Formats: sequence, C-alpha cells, structure tokens
Amino acid sequence: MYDLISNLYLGLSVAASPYNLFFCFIGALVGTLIGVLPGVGSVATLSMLLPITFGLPPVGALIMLAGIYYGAQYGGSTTSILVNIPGEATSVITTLDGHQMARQGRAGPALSIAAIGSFFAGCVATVLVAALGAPLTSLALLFGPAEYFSLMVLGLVFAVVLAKGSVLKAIAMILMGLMLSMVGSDIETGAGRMTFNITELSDGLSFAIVAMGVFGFTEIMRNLEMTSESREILNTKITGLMPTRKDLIQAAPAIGRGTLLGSIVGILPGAGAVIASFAAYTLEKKVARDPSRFGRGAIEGVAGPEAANNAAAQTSFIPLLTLGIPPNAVMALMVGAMTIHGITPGPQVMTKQPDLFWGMIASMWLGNLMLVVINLPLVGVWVSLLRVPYRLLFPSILVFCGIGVYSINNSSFEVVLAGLWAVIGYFLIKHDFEPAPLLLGFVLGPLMEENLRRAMLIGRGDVTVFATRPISAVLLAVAAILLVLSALPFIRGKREQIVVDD
Amino acid sequence: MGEWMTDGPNASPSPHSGWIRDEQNFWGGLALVALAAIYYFAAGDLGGMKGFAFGPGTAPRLFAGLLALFGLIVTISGLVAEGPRVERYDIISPTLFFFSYLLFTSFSSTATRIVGGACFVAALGWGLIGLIGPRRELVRGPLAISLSLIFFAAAIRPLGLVISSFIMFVIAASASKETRWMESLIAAVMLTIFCTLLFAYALELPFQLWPTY
Repeated sequence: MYDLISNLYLGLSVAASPYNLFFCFIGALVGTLIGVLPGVGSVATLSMLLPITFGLPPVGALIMLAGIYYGAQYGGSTTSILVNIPGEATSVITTLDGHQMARQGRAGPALSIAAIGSFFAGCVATVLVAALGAPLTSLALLFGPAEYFSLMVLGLVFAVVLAKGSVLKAIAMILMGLMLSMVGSDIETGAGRMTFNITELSDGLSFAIVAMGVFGFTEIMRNLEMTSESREILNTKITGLMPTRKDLIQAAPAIGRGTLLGSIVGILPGAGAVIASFAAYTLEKKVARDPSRFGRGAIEGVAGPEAANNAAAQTSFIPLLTLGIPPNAVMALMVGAMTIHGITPGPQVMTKQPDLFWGMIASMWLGNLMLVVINLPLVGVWVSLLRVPYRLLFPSILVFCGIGVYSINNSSFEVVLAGLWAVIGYFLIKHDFEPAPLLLGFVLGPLMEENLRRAMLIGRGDVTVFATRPISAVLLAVAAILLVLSALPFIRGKREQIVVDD
Repeated sequence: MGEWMTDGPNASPSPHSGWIRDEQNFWGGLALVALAAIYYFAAGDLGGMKGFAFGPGTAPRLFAGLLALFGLIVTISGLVAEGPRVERYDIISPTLFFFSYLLFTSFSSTATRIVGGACFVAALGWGLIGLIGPRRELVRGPLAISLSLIFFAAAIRPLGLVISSFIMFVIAASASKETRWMESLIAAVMLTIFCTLLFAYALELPFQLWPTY
C-alpha cells in the first residue's frame, strides 16, 4: 500500500511537470476533437499522429497518445447525445437514451452525467492500473519463452472470440498479420526475408505505415462512398448542466456497475471499450425495475455505458504495461509508439523506467480531470465543429498523413506503401475481413516468433514443451476451450447478441 | 502479396453465378490463399530447421502454410453457405499505379521497366475508361486518393513541401463529388500554411520547402 502511494506520487510529480501537463492537455483536446468528428476514429488518429511523436520526449509522447484514446471516449458521447451521431464506435449505445434525453430538453443533465460517469470510471481505473501493475509484473517475471508464446496465443484467441463477425476470418486476419510481420531481416541470422532485394524492405514493413494505410486511408475511401446526410443539429439551447438530485440517485449505481464491468472487460483482449459499453447497457436494462424506460431517455442508459467505455479504455493499458501484450488495436499502436522511442513494452518498463510507467498512469487521472473541464463548458464549441464538412476534412487528413508518413524516414517509398496498404484494407473490408486482428497479429508477430524459436531451442526441438510447463499448459488449455466454446452454436448466438445488440 | 490482383468480384458484377454462394468469402479467401502462396515461394530460398533450431525461413513458411489453410477453408465456406453479395468496388487502376511506381523506383532492370511501363499504361487506360463510364463514382474515390499519395511521393523531393502539399490537396479533393472548388482551394492554401508551420518550423523536421533549381 505504501509502495502504491509512493509510486503514484512519483507518477504525479512526472505527470504534473509543465511539459507533460501540456502534452496531456493536447492529447485530451485532440482526443475530444476526433471523438466529436464522426468518421475520424481513435485508431486512425493514433496511427496518423505516430510520426509526429517522433521528435517528442518518450514520456510526453506516450502521455499524449494515451490522452487521445481516452479523450475520444468523452468526445464521442457529446455528439451521440446532442446530434444522435456517435463520434466513436464506443458511444453508439449512448445515442439510444442520451439523444432521447436531449430531445426532452434534458441535454444538460445527459452530458454532465456522461462526463461525471466517465470521470469516476477514469479515477477508479487509474487506481486499478496502478494496483495491478506491480503484482502482474512480478507474475510476468516467472514467464519463460514458452509461457510468453502461450500467453500471446491466448491473447490472440481472445481477440478472435470477442471480435465481431466470423471466427474463421478473424483467425485468417491474425495469420496474415503474423506472416507479413516477418518481412525484413531475420533477427538471428540477418538474412533478408521476402524483401525482393528492395533496400527499404530490409527493415521490415513499418507498423506505422500499415496502420495508417489500413485504418486511416481505407477509412477515407469507405467514407467517400456514403453520401453525406445533412446533419441536423439540435437547436434547443442547453440550459443548466447540473443534473437533479433524482438524476444523481438514479445514475450513481449505474456508474458503479458500468465502472466495474468496464474495468474487467478492458483487461481482456479483444474489442475492449466497444464491447464494454454494449455489455453495460445490456446489464442496466436487465437490472432495471422498469426496462421499458430504456430507449426513452433513461439516465442509467447513459451513465452505465459511458462509465464502462472509459474504464475499459484505461484498464486495457494493464496487459500492455505489465506483460507487453497489446489487448486491442489501439494498444497495438501504443506498442508501435513505444518501439519508435526505443522502449520495449513489457514487465521491465516498470522497473527500468519507473518515471515513464507511473508518469503515464498518473497522467491518466490528470487527463480525466482536464476532460471534464474541456468537455462541459466548451460543449458549444465542439458541436459547432460538426459543421466542418467532410469534403474539406478528408483532403486535409490525407495531406497531413502524407507528410507525416514521409517524415518518419524521409522515404517516398513508404508513402506509396501506405497507399498500397489502403487498397489492401479496402479490399479486405469489402470482403468483410476485420483489419483490427490483422494489426494485432502484425504487432505480436516478431515477439511470437522470437519466443517460439527460443522455446523450441530450450526444449531441444520438442514441441511438447508448451504442454509440459504448467503455466503454459493452462494458458493454452484456456485458449483451446475458448475457441471451442465460440464455435458452439449456442454461445455463438449469444456472442452475436452482445456484439450487435441494440 | 497478391490479393489486389484478383479482380473477380469487381470485374463480374453479375448476380450470384450459380456455384459461388458467398461472394465475400469465396473471393476473399482465394485472395488470401494467393497471398500465402506468393509469400511461401518468396520464402523458399531461406534456410529451414537446423537440428532443433528454427532457421530464418521456418516461421514464415509455417504461418504462410496456416494462412493458406484458413484461406482455403474460408473459400470453401463460400461454396457451401449462402452469404451476402460483395459491395461493388473498383481498385484495379490504383493497384496498377502503385505497382508501376514501385517497379520503377525500387528496381532497375530492363524487365521491370517494361512491366512497370505496361502497368502504368494499363492503369491509365483502366482509370480513364472507368472515369468516363457509368461506374464513375466507384472508380473516382480510391483512384484520386491513391494518385494524390503517388503524386506526393514523387513530388516532395523535386518540388518541395509547399507546392507538393497544395497540389496533393487538390488531387485528393477531386475524390469527392461534393467538392466545391473555390472553397477547397482556400482550404488547400490554409492547410499548406498550417503544415509548413507545424512540420518545418514547430517540429523542425528537415523539409525542403521550395523547388530546387
């Protein structure tokens, strides 16, 4: 307990330095901005901003990127409530009751409950990340290559089981990511692999390029296909942000449940915050005395999911920071960002760079505080941003990213490669393949190969090493059970229900 | 790397052609098998297992094999189970443009030049025909976006940051039929100024701003 407090104190002293406060603020601001703008997701934005963080100090860069992610959860709810357009996938569910509340002239309480719920969840999750950090890290030290490999298999299986759509296709995407991550020089022998003698490929396919192509540019191609509907902005003035006593009494337990549920779901690999908000809504509907109020402006339907998505966004940092394994696409991008700065994510981060580890955690709390300030009084500014038409937004994003990609290595080749990835991503989406598992596979690929090779070497070429070491065996068994379960028709129906529940 | 070459779904927008019951899975799975196969052969000259140690080629071939297997299962599922039609799209021209750029800039043999030239001509032809034809709106978005990136890649060194970003914005803007030109030109100027200030001055990245003479 004393350790926890002294660690958090260290973190706060790092995070509260003016420089880092500034980055945290920028992150929260940009996060809110992209959360508000529909069609600009957090994965896409993070991949676009990766190159820019190149010149920043590592702590500041990671604080900023983290801020963008949880900031987007806040911003997304604003447009869900006011305009009935979810700015982020995680706040789709908030439109149901949030927008109804706004139509009944209660936009103010809806917004403030969303912010209060998110803030509360953010605070609890921050403490949780701090508290679980140390024990999980010491657990990670017991892991050898075989255990690491099995753990990654389990993580990927989780991602498959929780992803929406076909299990088979999600596995195929992971394999494609794993396979393509091996392009470039071999770690042990230095042999060029699948490089076709192209010099630029000898360092491998850059993660930032793949992410920007598949998420950033593909998204633009997709958005252009949809005709822009005129966005009807609610003209009622937002009067009185303060919720009533009754609102608070109704919302408080929902916020608590949402926080708990979100924290758990966030740690599990998979879709993270999206699933968390859907699950929280379902839960609220189940425990409510009068479920028919939902969809007609029930405040619990805003409070629960908003708390849950924010909690999940933050606890998804736990597997990344302690085990070095990203549970979702956003965390995969964080791995990319850390690698750019020469940090290998994993248990050693906490012991070797305590200022980075604790600084980032403390910044999450500060960031959440800033977000309440950024979001509530400035709500009018954010809504007016929706008036920027997409026809001006998308060329700007494209030029911005083009320059960003080029600036990583001053390489024209990589700009073209990102474009090629955009076309590949477009093809995959047209054929209903999810790009997120591909990215996850791509990030974990080198780690998996390295651990597989080492485990095999230590086990003297014996494959059973994965089954005879107890921790590894348990992890693999859980993975196998999960896969089998997800293939059963009953669970499959349930799973679809959770993912596309309305 | 082969899936953008499979032109099945976009080349034949005919209704369910009998034995393919799920177009998405059939063509998508097939593309993955093709990609895995190309990759497998590209990894062919790499060393395999040495005693009980992995060689550089072991893991790539292992994963390529697994991808081929799963791709095949997805393909077969497209023959067995009913599924949705593929939304129409056309990415042949952008893909060929990217190929020709890569062939010209990354290789220097006569053969690659000839193939690269052929790709360029084909891309130009397919793109122009597409833009005149009834499928205009399908071709336009991906093509304009891809061309804006290729333009930027080719122009950034000789023309410098300012001119390249401005023209890139204009090319990209043509991807949408909703674009209004006056407004876009003003936005292009503003964005160019913003990016120049951000990248060249604030972040101090080594960009050349104007053309070299």
